[in-house]
Amino acid sequence: MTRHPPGFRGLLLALAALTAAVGLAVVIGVLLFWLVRTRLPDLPTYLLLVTIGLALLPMLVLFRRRFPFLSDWYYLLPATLFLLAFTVYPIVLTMGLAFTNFSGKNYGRPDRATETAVTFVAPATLRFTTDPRPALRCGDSCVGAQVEVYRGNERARATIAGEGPTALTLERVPAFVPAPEDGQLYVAKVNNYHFIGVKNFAFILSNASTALWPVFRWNVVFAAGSVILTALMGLILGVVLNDSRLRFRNFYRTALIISWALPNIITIQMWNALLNQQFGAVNRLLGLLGIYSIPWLTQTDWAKLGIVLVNLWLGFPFMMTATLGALSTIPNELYESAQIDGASPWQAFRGITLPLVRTAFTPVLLTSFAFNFNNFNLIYLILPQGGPAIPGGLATANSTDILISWAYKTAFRAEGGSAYGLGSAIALIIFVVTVGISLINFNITGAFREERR
Amino acid sequence: MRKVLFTLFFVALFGTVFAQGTVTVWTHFQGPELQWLQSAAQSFEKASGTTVNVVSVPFNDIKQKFILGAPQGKGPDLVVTLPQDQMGEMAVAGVLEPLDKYVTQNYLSGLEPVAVDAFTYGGKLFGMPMSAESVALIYNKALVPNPPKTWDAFLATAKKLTTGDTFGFLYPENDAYFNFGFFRMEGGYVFGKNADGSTNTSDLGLGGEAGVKALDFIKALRYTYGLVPDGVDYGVADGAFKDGALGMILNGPWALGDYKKANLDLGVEPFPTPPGASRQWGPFVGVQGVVVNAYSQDKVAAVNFAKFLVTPESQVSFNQAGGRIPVSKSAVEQLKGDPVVQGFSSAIALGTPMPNVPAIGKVWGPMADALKLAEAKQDSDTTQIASDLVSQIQKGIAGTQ
Repeated sequence: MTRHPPGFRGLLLALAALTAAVGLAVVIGVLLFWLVRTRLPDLPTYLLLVTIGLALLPMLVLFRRRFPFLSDWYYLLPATLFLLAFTVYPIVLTMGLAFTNFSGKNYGRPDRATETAVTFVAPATLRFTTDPRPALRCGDSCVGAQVEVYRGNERARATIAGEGPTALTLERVPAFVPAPEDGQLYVAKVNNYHFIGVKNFAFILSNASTALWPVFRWNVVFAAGSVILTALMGLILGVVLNDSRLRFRNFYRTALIISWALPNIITIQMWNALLNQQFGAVNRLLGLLGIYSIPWLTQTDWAKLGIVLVNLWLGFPFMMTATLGALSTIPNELYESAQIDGASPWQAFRGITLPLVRTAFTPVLLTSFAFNFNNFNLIYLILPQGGPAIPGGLATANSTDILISWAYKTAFRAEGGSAYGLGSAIALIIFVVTVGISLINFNITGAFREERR
Repeated sequence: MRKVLFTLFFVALFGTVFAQGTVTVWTHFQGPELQWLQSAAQSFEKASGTTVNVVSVPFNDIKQKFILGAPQGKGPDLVVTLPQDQMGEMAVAGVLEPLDKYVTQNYLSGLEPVAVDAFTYGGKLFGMPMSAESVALIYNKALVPNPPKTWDAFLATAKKLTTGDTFGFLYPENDAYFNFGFFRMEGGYVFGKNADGSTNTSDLGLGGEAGVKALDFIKALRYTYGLVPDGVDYGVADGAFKDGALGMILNGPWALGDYKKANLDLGVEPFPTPPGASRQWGPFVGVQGVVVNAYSQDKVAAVNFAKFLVTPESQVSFNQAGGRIPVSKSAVEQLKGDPVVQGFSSAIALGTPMPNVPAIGKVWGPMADALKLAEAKQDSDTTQIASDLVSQIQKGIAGTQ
C-alpha cells in the first residue's frame, strides 16, 4: 500500500487525477457511442451513460497503476458523482437562472403568435406583405432582434441586421433558406431570455415588508414551534410508554405511530376537510361542547395555529420513537441506584433521563428543524388555494406560506405566471438562509465538535 | 409451421394497417366526460388506424407541464381541452402550433364568432374551439320549484332555505372566476381595449368604485343576507348541491354530468341582478378548445384527431355526456330544446369573454386575495382592498420583465 501524498498538494493531485480519469472516460464514451450510433441510428441517448461507464472501468484501473494511492478515492467516487449530478448541478443551474428573466413569456423559443409567412430574396432579405415591426412585435425597430426562420422541419436562428418598410435583412442567412422552395417559409421572433442582473432580488426586496419578511418570520416560527411541540409531546409519551408498569404498552406504541405511518399526502388533505369551518368534524365536535365555530384555515392566526397543530399530529410519533430508542440505551442500574440513594422519580428524570436522552436528541431536533423549515407538503397541501391573504401582499405569498411554497407558487402556479427566474431567486435566498441557520445551529449545539476533539 | 407463418403474416398485415403512428392526448376531463373522450379515441382509432393515448393530467398542472415539457419532446401531441386564458401565454412561449393552415374558412364560419375570437391571439388561431362555459345559477327544482328570475325571489328563496340543515345559496366565494360577474354588474372589467380593438393591459377595471361596490356586495352575501358562511369552497358547495342539501349554486356546465348522475331535477338561470347595480350580471365566458403541440412529431395525425373531436356531432354527444355548451352553430341548433343548454346560453349571452393575453395569468391571484381579505371581516376596508388589487395586478404584469 503506497502512502497518500501529504497535505493540500496531495489532495489537489488526487482530485486532478480523478478528474482526468473521469474526463477521459467521458471523451472515450462519447466517441464509442457516436461510433455505435453510425451503425444503429435509433439508439436512445441515455445509452451514453452505459458507454461512459464502460470506458470508466479501464480508466480507473490504468490510473491506479500510475497513482496507487487513488484506490482510497475510488470508494468515494460513485457518491461524489451522484452528488455532482443531483445536488451541485441543480444548485449551479438555479444560481444562474436567478439572474435571468426566464419565464413562460421569456422562454428562448419562437413566439408563435408572431409567426409570419415571408419570401426570401437574395442575398439576405425576408420580404413581408405588411410592416414587419407590428407583425413581429419588435416595438420601434427590429434591428438586433433574434428570430427563428423555419420551413417544414428545418429551422435556424438568425439576427436582424436591417429593416425596410416591408422587409428585414438577416445578418447571416441559414443554409436551408435560399434552397429551392418546397414549402412556405416562416419567421417568428424569439422571446429572448437574458441576464437581468439583480432585478429579481430587487423585486423580492422591494416587497420585503409584505412578502419576504412576514414569510420568513412565519417560516422560522412554524419550524421552531413544530420542533418544540413535537419534541415535548414525543418525550412525554416516550417516557410514559417506556414505563414497564404500563399494561398494553406495545398496543399503545403501535396505535400512536399510525399518524406517522400513513402517507402524509393523504392525511394532510384529510385535515383540510376536518378543519373546514362549517362542515369539518373538528368544529362539529367543538360545537357539541358549546364552542363557537373556529375559523381554522380562514383567519390568519387560527390558520397558523391549525397548521402547527396538524404538524404536531404528524410529527410526534417520530420524536416518540426517537425517545424510546434513546431510553432503551439507559441501563436500568442507574435508576436502581438512584432509588437506593433516595431520589424522587422527578429527580431521577432530571438527573439521569434528560442528560442521557439529550445527546441522542440533539441531532434529531436539528434534522427535524431543517425538515420543517422546508416542509412544503404540509403548507401547500393543507391550503392548496392559498391561505388567508396578507393585506397589500403578493398573491404568491399568503400568510401561511413559507419560503419554499412561495418559490413554488411563483414559478409553477397561475398566481406566479411561470416566473422561473424569480422563483429561482427565491430558492437561492432559501439556500442562503438554510445554510446560515444550519451553521448557527451546529455552532450552538456543537453537533460536529466531537470530531475535532 | 404453416399455421405459425399464417399468424405471423396476419400480425404483420394488421401491424402495417394499424400502426400509423400514435397520438398522445392530455386531458383534464373526469367522469362522464373522460369516458366520452376515451370512446371518441377508440372510434378514431378504428377509423384512421392512429393509436390514441389518453392521459389524465390535473387541470391546474397542464400549462406548466406543457410549457416545460413540450420543447424537450415530453409534451403530448394534443391537449383536450384548454380555456383561452391559458392559451395566450402558451402561444407566446412557443409551444402551440398556429392552426390557420389546417382549417378552412367553412369550418370557421360554422362556429360561434365568440369562440373564434377567444382562440385568436396575435391574429392567429391557436386552438379548435370545442365548448363554451360560464357560471350560472343552477337550482334544484325539488327545493326551488319556481325559477328565481328576480333578485327578490332569489333572496327570499335563499333565506327560506338557509336553515342549518339545508342551504339556500352557496358558491366558492374566494374564487376569482366565480365572482367576476359581480364586478361586471357594478361596471367593472379586467382589461380595457385599445383603439384598434386589441387588449390594453395597462387599463385595469377591477378597482375603483366598481371594485369597491362589487366587494361590498360579495361581503353582503355573507354578513347582510347571511347566505354564504365562511369556509365554503368549490368542493363544499358542489358536494352540498349533489347531496340535495343546497337549493341554488353558482356553477358551470362542467358540473352537470355529476348532477345528472345524482338524479337532480335542474333548472338554470342567469344570476338575478340586484337593484342598484349599474348593469346586468354577466359572467366570464370561457371557451375550451383543443390545442396542438408545436413540437409534435406527427402534427397531421394530431390535427386530424382534433378535427374529429370538434365536429358538430361530437359537440352534441359531448354535451350529452357532460353538459358543456357547444360552440358550433349547427350543434347549438340541434340542442335548442334543452332547457339546461338554454339557461347557460342566456348566461353566456350576458357575459364577456375571458381575456386571452398572457397578462390574465397575473389577475387571478390578486383577485382571489382581494376576495379573501374583503370577506375575512365584516368591517374590512374594501376601498383599500380594491386599490391594492389594482396595484398588485400592475406589479405582477410589470414583474421583472
